[in-house]
Amino acid sequence: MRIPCPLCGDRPLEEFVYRGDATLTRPAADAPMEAWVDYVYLRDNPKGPHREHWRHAQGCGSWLIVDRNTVTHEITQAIQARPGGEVQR
Amino acid sequence: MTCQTHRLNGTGRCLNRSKPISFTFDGKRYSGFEGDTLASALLANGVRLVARSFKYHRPRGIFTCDPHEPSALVQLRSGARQEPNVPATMVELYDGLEATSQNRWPSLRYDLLSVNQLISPFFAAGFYYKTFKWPAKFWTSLYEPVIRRAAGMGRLSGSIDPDTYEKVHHHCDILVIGGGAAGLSAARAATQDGARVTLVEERARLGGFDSTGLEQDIAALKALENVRILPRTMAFGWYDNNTFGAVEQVSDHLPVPAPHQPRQRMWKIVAPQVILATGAHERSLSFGNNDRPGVMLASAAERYLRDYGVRPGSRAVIFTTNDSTAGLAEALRAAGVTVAAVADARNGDEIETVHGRTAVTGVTLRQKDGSRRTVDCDAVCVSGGWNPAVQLLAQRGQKPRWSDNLQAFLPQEMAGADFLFTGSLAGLEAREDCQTHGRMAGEAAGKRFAARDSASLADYHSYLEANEARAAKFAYFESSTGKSKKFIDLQHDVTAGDVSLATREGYRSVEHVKRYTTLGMATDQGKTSNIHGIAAMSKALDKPMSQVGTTGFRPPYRPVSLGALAGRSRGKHWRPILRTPLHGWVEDKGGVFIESGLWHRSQYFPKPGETMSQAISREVQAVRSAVGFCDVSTLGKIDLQGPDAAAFLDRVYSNGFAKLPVGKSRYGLMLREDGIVMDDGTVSRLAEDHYFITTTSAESDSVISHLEYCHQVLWPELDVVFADAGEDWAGIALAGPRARDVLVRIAPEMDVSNAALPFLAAREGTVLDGVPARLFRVSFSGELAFELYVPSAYGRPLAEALEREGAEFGITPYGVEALDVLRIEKGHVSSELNKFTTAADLGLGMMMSKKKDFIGRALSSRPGLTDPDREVVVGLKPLDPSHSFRQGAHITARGAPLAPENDDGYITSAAWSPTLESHIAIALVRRGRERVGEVVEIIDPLHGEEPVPATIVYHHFYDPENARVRS
Repeated sequence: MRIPCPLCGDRPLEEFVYRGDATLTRPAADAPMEAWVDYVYLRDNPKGPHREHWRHAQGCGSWLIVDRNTVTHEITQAIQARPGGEVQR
Repeated sequence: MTCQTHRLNGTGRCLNRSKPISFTFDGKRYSGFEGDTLASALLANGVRLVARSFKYHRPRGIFTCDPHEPSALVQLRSGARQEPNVPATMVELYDGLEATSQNRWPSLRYDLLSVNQLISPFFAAGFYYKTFKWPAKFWTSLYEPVIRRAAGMGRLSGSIDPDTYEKVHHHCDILVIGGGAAGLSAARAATQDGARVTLVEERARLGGFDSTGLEQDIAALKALENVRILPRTMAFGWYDNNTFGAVEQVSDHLPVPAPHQPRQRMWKIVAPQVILATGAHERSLSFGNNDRPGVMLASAAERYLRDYGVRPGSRAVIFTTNDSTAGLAEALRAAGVTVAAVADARNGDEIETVHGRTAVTGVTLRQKDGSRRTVDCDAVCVSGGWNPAVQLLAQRGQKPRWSDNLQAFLPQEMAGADFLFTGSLAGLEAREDCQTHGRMAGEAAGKRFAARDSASLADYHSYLEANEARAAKFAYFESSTGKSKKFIDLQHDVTAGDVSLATREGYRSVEHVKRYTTLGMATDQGKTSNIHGIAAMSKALDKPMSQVGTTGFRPPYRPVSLGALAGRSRGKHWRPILRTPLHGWVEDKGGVFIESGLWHRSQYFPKPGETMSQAISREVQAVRSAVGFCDVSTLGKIDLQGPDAAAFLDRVYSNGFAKLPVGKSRYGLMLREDGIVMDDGTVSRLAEDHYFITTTSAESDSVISHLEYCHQVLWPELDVVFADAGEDWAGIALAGPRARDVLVRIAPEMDVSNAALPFLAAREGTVLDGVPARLFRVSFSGELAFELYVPSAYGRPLAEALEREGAEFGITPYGVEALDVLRIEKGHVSSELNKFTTAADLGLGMMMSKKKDFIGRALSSRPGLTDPDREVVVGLKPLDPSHSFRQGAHITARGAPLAPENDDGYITSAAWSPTLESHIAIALVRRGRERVGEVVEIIDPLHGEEPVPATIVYHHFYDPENARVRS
């Protein structure tokens, strides 16, 4: 598999570290325990499109938001997670 | 030396008859020619019996002329270069080659384990599952040792492989897999729009099944500048985003690799467009004793005649279902071979059974009218049609599609956005068809590359559709009568009977039948046999072939040696070594190293005649009574700056940092979001917006990654920057009551008095005549101590200066063993941060700020993490100080029976304390703090040790008032 890092270009899988679902939002400090349990433990396991966090650990170190199809492994978009990262090369 | 009885005069396209070659098989000397394979040379010498089969030890010969030879597997070479299970058909002959047969004892001709055939009813499908179930204890004591001795094929040498293997990353615009007629045409056409084309071919020569007349095409392709041709290179895997794995057999055809050349080269190829022209595999037919030496694929017989000048016998019988054998009878006759009979299944004729034991002596033919006749012969040439080589495609997740017209499984989709198919893989047969369609595929791929969008594939598709519509292949797989074993998987000894037994026992899925019978699970992956298993299932279940379907295929297409996968990553290159800036100095001092992650750390510094434990105790006592120093460069170091740095630290550490004054250090605890402790270290404020952080050695990388996540993903609004400064600084801990006396001399320009540099002070300054330094008054040992950081290049000069200036105070270098003893005596946690413990478990509950949010705050209040029954950190002292115990030993209440429910915790750190003159330990004990004073038992049944009685104590064994660190 190859991931198009917005800073480094098309790079092989071995340079990246996977984290998981990129659509989660860290709950507010006063959020109920259920919200925290959902945030830390509960994950969907979708068949098809998935938005996820990867880190280009052996490259620029950026955390990326990658849109990947879990069936075909097709990657439709990879952007930096930090704001302003939407700008593609 | 025997003469080449089966060699023809004149013919043999691949041979160089001016270069005779001598080789041995099972110790006997034979001769061949340059260009021979081991298989062709053995056949030329009239050697028919070359192997014994896997399960029944039946005699086997050479069945194919292909890389996926199922029968003729041999052991190649001897000594450290010995290699088992090599198909003789793939071994290019070289002078002095040594090969031996495998899976036989005492000899190939008289193999004692061939008695397995006599009891073959017991070896039917599922034999293992049915037989070795009980009694359970027999498995390890009897069954496994016996099976292991009987199983397997060749033997490994047991020696280190003396050859090297390397890896290459390769990028091209268009990759063509397969160098037959279709692949050659495709590659040439693909270059027309300027694409860089790479062609891989698993055999040594291009041209595929028959290269006659392709010489000019091959030469023209080789002359093109933007074409790279890789012969002897097998594409074994097709991975996501058109990434391919391929192995190049660089030196396997040589006695010994040339200087500086690897034996094999692993290619990782990335290509936006790929054209698959992997060809087709001829299949056999299922009839009685169809495994006897002398039974051979028709295409193999043809190639041995034409390419190697070898006749397969003197009287041959042809058994066929298709037109691909049309020229074989004539070719055999031209070579002086009598064609005793042609059994064409399309006319209702078939071979019922083969006669002979270690070689074919005749066959019984059954004619359409049911009459039988026996024909003497010494060769049987069989063709059951052709299977497109769909394995790479199936790796990509496509299920092949059964074509009734072609009587074969074809690719489901003949083209995709990044791949095209051509040649006999796409169901084509005639060379002209392969070339024409190959050209169409090449042109389409070239246009896709040039225009970066799809070219029209209308002609490409209609060509294949017309070919399939025209085809009317005859459906025939198995002879209708006969009692002898009909083998469908020659390498795993699976018979048609095994498959029907499996279906009688209720197996319905082709995947289950495969695993139950082991059909197609040998090194050839059933390339000549799977289809017969599917046909047998189709018959037994009365379901069409299309509904039985095929099994999946995973990489590799053919076996790949572990050496090629490992590449250069072996021995000391297995993984990188991290050395601290003091490494050379430690070596010079005679220090002993210990591997800790990737680091090589100084473990202890023995004096002549000293044991390890004596050295450690001496180092500990030096720190307690005088002064010592230790390399702590492996600690993670992070430089953090920015106006929001304090706010950032407040969120990632459980304790507060906003109020940490400039010039001060503080111990920090970092949690994971689930409330478990992740790491600890010190945070020092060097300026209003500038911090220097240390992490543990083991977690330095993961802490950086975590902080980057917090910064880039969670709180990008915080204005901070940080850098991994781990390799920038050498770190030395200077500890002991005389530490300040030494420091004064090292850092004359800094005021290091207790008043100017109190406990937890942090300073930037210079040491050793102007070397920039960061100085922190922190202590891991419990003594007056300093951590001193200088730029890496000054690590060694600093160590040398400390040794010199500290000599009169008795300064002693100490290693990580003494470091550990010192921190256990002091009760500092380290290995207790084991990814199961909370701050409260570690006795650090007071570091959980209640005034702010931080990572891990919310979930650390979960009931499970606040349960008073949890195991918490305590100390342990044996009643008898000389009683030792180990890390990992368990704790039970005194007198409690040895049972899991009585497990009260375990020892996390243990040491001999020279200071307390007792063995001591830190442990995680259930309700431990309430049990201080209780005598418990330390049990260690894994090491077969008697229980040791010990008292639970407060874990700060040494100086619990913390007076010494402030002195």
